[in-house]
Amino acid sequence: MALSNEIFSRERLAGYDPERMGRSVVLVIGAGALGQNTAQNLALAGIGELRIVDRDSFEEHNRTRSPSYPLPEEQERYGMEKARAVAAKLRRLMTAPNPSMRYAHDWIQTLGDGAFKGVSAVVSCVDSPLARAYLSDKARQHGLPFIEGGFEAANITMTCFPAAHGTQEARTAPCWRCSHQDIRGTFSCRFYAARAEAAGIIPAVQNAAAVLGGLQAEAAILALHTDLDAPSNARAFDLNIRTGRSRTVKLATDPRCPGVHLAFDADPIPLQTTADNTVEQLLREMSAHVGSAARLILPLKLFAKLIWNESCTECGKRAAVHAPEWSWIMTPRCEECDGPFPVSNTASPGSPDVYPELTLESNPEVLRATCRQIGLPPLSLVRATGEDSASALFELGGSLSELYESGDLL
Amino acid sequence: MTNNNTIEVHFMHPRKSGELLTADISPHCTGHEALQGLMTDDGTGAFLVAPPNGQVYELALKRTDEAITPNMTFMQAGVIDGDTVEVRLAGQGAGA
Repeated sequence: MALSNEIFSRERLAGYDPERMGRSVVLVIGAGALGQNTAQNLALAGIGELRIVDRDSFEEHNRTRSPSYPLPEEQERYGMEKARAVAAKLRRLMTAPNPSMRYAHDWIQTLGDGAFKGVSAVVSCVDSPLARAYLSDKARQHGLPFIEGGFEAANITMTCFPAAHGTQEARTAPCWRCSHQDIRGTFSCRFYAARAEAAGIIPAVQNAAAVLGGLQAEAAILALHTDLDAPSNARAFDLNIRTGRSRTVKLATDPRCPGVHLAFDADPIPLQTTADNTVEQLLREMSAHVGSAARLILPLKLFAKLIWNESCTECGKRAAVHAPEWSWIMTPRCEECDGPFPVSNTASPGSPDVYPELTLESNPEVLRATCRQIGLPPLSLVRATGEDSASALFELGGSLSELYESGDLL
Repeated sequence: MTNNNTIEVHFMHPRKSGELLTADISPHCTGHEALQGLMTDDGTGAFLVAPPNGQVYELALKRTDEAITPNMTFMQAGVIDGDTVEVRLAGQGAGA
């Protein structure tokens, strides 16, 4: 049989639907060894839009496991930020007819719900358990398939969670947090290498990254092809790349899972309030919608509660955090201890330091903060309740271009 | 059942191929409790060392290839007398 020269002829024979893939958007979080290998496969396979998110920058030692490590002239042009450099390199490899590349040099949590808008599948290539937990929860809320992976020396692990559709599936289907409940050690990738070395974790080598990147990319593509004869249950796949020993485990739902087993069940109400408006403006606009004083919920499970002040874990001084809990967990130190949070010289007697919810009666200092400051970037989805306890879902104003840079013109 | 209250379970080490620990445990024991027991030194050395920072052990019933989650009891997971339970150590890094 003569094979066609059409660009996707081999992919069609493998069962892929290139037209569907060309309409799909895959969000790859983490652009280290695993993220690059996974995203490279997706770019070549014909995914229409890739979104690359990473806050890290390349270092010399990354070269041995970085297919997208920038050449000297590319370093001058694109810099060393992983997300930007990888986006620039991989954009040229994309085979979809009308490819689009977006990237963000940021923590995925900083981008909020908007990062997931229009996404078809979420692929986690991060080091941090806190980020994995966040991605698992967000994929569940947005009804998206979630693929996660990691290394431990020659052992690689991938877990796949199909999209949970509707309230019942969201509640009962296993999630990543069902089996990962202790997420201490939530250090960020910036500090990961040193901490991992101290903890006895062996970093990745390219061969492991390439194998796992292939598995993750195929899992993401399968998630887009629900009509293909492929495993449809939540599962973990382990492989030792030296011995070839492998096994698959069917994952189960934990009866007391700390994760989010809820899906957004309604279209959000669009708001005029943007991320750069104040919390007070947000509360007033939501109050007008719910017909009474609105109560903004900052979900504890998503580490979204607002930390206003907290004691530095190094020196014990009071730090003005003014940020969501996840931000504090990642670097719980004041500026004097090499952290990002200034030492607080003010005290508001009677005002709490932690806010799981906000109302117009909250601390005026908090109400004057911008939505972005308290962890609500453009396109954030927020839930508020009125006095009758009825809740509504809202979407902050904004656009994707406020969250992602375009990688198409690099 | 080894007696009215316990079942005999064989635990497989995650990294040392072929190393087994046989224990009599309550069917009401949870996955978390079982792992705590496997990391406890009973005088002859613990079967498992504490996992590195950020990593977790996971359990799977070998007969069905199904996971046993931290708050699931062995009875809920379908573990019966004589079963083998594998201990997994999930990969952690992503290549920073």
